[in-house]
Amino acid sequence: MREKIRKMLSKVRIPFIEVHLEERQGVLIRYVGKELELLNQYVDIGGNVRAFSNGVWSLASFNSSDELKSNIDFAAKQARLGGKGNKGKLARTKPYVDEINLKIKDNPRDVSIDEKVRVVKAYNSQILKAKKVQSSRVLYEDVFQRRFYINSEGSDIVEEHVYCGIGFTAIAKDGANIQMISKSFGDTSGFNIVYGHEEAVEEVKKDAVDLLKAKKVKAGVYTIIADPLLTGVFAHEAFGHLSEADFISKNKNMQKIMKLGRKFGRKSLTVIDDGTMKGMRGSYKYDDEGVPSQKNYLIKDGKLVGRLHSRESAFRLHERPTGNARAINYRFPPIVRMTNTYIKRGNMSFDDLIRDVDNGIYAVSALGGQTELEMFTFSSGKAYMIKNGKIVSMVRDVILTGNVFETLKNIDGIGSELKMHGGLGGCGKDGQFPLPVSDGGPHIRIRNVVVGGKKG
Amino acid sequence: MFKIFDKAKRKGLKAEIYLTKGREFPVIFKSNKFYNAEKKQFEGMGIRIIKQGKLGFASTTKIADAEVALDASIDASRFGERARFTLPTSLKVKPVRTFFDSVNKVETNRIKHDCNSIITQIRKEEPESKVDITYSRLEKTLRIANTEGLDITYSKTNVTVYVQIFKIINGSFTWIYKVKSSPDSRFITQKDISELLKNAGLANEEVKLESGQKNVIFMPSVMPIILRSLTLGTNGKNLQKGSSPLKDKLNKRIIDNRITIYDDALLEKGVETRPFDTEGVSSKRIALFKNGVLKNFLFDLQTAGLLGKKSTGSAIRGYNSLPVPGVSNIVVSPGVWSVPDMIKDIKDGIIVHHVLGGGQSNLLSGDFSCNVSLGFAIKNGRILGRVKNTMIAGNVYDMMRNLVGIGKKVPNVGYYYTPAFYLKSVNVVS
Repeated sequence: MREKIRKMLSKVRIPFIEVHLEERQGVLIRYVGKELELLNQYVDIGGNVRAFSNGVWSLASFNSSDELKSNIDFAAKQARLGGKGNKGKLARTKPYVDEINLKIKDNPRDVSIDEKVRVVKAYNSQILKAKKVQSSRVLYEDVFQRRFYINSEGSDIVEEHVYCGIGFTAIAKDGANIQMISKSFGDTSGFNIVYGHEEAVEEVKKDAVDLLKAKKVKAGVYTIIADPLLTGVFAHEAFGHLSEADFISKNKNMQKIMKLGRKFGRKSLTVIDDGTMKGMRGSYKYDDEGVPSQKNYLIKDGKLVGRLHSRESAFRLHERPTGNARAINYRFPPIVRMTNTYIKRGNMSFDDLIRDVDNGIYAVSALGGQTELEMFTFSSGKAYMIKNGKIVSMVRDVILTGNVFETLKNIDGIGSELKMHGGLGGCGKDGQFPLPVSDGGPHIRIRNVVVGGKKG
Repeated sequence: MFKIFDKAKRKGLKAEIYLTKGREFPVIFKSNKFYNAEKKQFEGMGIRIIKQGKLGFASTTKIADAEVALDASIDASRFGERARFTLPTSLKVKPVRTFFDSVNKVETNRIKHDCNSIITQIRKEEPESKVDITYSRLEKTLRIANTEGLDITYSKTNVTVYVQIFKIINGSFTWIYKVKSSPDSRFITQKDISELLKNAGLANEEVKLESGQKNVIFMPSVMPIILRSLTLGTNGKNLQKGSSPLKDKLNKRIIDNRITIYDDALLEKGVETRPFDTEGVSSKRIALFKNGVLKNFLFDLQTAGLLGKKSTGSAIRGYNSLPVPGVSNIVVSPGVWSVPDMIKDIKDGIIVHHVLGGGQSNLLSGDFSCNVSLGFAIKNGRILGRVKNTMIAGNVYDMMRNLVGIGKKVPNVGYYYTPAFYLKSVNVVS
C-alpha cells in the first residue's frame, strides 16, 4: 500500500505533496449521575492528501481510500492553480523513514470493556456517596491511533499512539447555588493511569461542597499565587499560543512585537514546550509533517529565544522547523500547536511565595481558558484569600484576565516543584478541538492581576 | 447495511442506524492572500440497539464493516440504561426546504475573485490590517432507518462565511469579525463590509472606563452566549438530572415580559431547519419563553420517557454519539428599539460586539463572566472609543429581568436569530 502511494506521489507535478492515513479505535465511557450516558467502542478511519505550491495549500480529506488517486490529483491541481503568480516555500527538513510500534505495558486495547466500566462506576459511586453532592460526571477515554505519513520528499513514517485518561466532576447543590469541581488524569503511558485516584475523588467531593459556602470573590486587582495546574494553563493560554509562529509569520507588525531577544519577564522566567517528554499527553516522535519533535525554549532567563513552527512558518521567518505541526485528525490540515508546555521551576518554597502577600488569592486549577493572543482569560476551579501571608477563607468565581505582556513581567516568584498535567480533552485552535496536550509548572506568584467577581 | 437489520432481528433486537454523508468545500484566505482550498468528504454511521430493554451504541466510519459496529453495540448494551421509548415506525412530516441547489452552483474561482475584491476594498481604508476570509459550502445527507420499518432521509446545504480584520492599534491586538451562515448561497455584502470598517475605525480610539453598574447594549453577535445560558436551563436533560435552575418553574414568569424565544426547527431557510430530528421524530416550532414565561423544555425520546413526557423533536447527535436534547433555530422576537436609539439613550455605558471567555463560567446556573474583547464606551448618547481590560459579570436570569429594550432587526448569528438587547444595571469591571 505504501509503495503504491509512493508511486502515485512521484507521478504528480507539484513542488510538495503528502498523504496522511489514520486508523483510530477508541472507547468512550461517560456516566452522569447514576446513568450511563455514553458507551462507545468506535472505529474512525480516514486520510487526507495535502499539496503545496508557491505559498498556497490544498487539502482533500476522505474516509475511504478507494479514491486516493483522484484526491491526489485534486489536491495537486488546486494547489498548482492557486499558487500561480505567488511565491513561498517550505523550510528544509530531513526525510525520515521510520516505524514506531507501541511498546507499552498496559495497552488499553488489551483491557476488557467490563474492567473499564467497573473502574468508571466505582469512581462514580464514590462521588455520589455524599449528602450535598447532587450529581457527578465521570469520563473515561482511550484512543489507539496508527498514523501513516508519506510525502514526495521521501518521508515514510508509521507511528502508533495510545491516549488514555479519566476525569471526574462532583456537582454540589444548595437551592439555586450549584458548584462543581473537576480533576482529570491522562497521558500516553497506558491503562494504569486510571487506577489509584480515590483520594483525588474525595478531594473533589469536599471542594464542591465547600464551594457552596464560599463567598464570591470581590472584583479587583490582586496578587495571585497559582498552583501548578493553573500555572500550566497560564503558560499555555497566555504565552503558548503567542509562540505559535504561523500567525506571526504572516504579519510584519507582529514580528516586531515578538522579536527574538526581547525581554518578556524577569530573569527567573523560563518557558519551554517539549514534545519529547516520555509518556506525556502531548508527546510524539514525529509531527504531522514528518519533522521530529524537540525541546523548544520559548523564553529563557526572561528573554524571548524561540517559537513553535511548521515548515511553512519556519521558512517565512528564516528559522528552523521545530516539529510542532499537528492536526487533530485526518479531516484537518496540520497547523502550529503546542505539545507539553511548562514554566521551568525556580527555587522558592510555597511558604516563601505567600509570605510577602498581604491581600492576595491562592488560585487552584483552571476551568479552561481562552486567549486572544494579547488578552487571556480563565477561571480557577477553587481559590482561597491570602491575608498577611496566610491562607484564610475559600472564595469562588475567580476569573482572571489580563494582558500577556504585562502579566509575564509581573511574575516575581517561581516555586521549586514542577508538576505536569495531561488529563483529557485538550487545546482548541482554528476549529481543531480537542488536541491532546499537557501543561504545567511550579507554583508561581503574579502581581497585579485583574480578577472579575462580584462588584467591588 | 440492511443485512445488519436481519442479523439484529434474528437476535431479537431492535436496531436503529443513523447515517451521515457529505462534502464540504472551504476556501481560505489568510493575511490578505489566498491560502488554501479544501475538499472534505465525510461519512459515518452510529448504531443504536435495544436488547432486552437496554440501550447499546457504537459508531464507525467504515460503513462496509457495519457488522463490527453492531457487535460492539450489542456488547455495550450489557451496561446500558433501560430504554424508555420505542423506536418510531412512521412519520408525519411538514415539508420544509433544506437543500438549495444554488450552493452547488458556486464556483471556487468566483469565490476567490470576490474575496480578493473585498480584501482590496478593506485595505484601502485600513492599509495596515490583515484580512482573513473563510468561505465554506457544505452539502450533507442524513438517513435514519430502524428495524421497525422507518427509513427516512433528507439532504441539506449550508454556506458559512467568516471575515476577520486584524490590526494592531497602539500595541493592542484587535480582531473585528463577522460570521454569516445560511442554507442557501450567501456572501459578504457591502453593508457587512461597512459595518466591519466602522468598528475598525471606532477601535482606533481607546478610552478608560470606570467600574460599576452600567447600561449595556449586547449586539446580536454576543447574544448567543446569553441565549445559550437560557437554553441550557430549558434543556430536558438538565431538567431530568435535576440541575436546571428552571426546575418546577413551568408557566412562571422568569424574565422580562417583552422577551419571547422560540426553538423553531421549521423556520423557513433556517440554518438548523430540518423535517425531523435525529431520531426520526417530526420537527416542531416550540415556545421556550413567551412574554417572559417559561413554556416548554426540550426533549428527545429517552429523556421524555424518563420524565413521562413526549419528545419535542429536539434530538441532536453526531454520527458518533447518542441523541441528546438540543436546540435547533433559536428565534427571539424583535422589539421596538433601533441600535442608534439605544446608543442615544445611554448616559454612561457600553456597547458590546465580541466577548472572550463565554464558556468559562457556570452558564447552566446563569453565571455570566466575560472579557469584552470588542466593546465601545458610550457617554451622553455618543460612542467615545474602545474599552480594554473590561469584564462583565453577572447572572443571565437577573440580566434578562433588567431589560430596557429589544432591537428591531433580527439577523442570524449561526442558528441564533436574535436582535440586540439593551439592559440596565449590568456589572462592569474595568
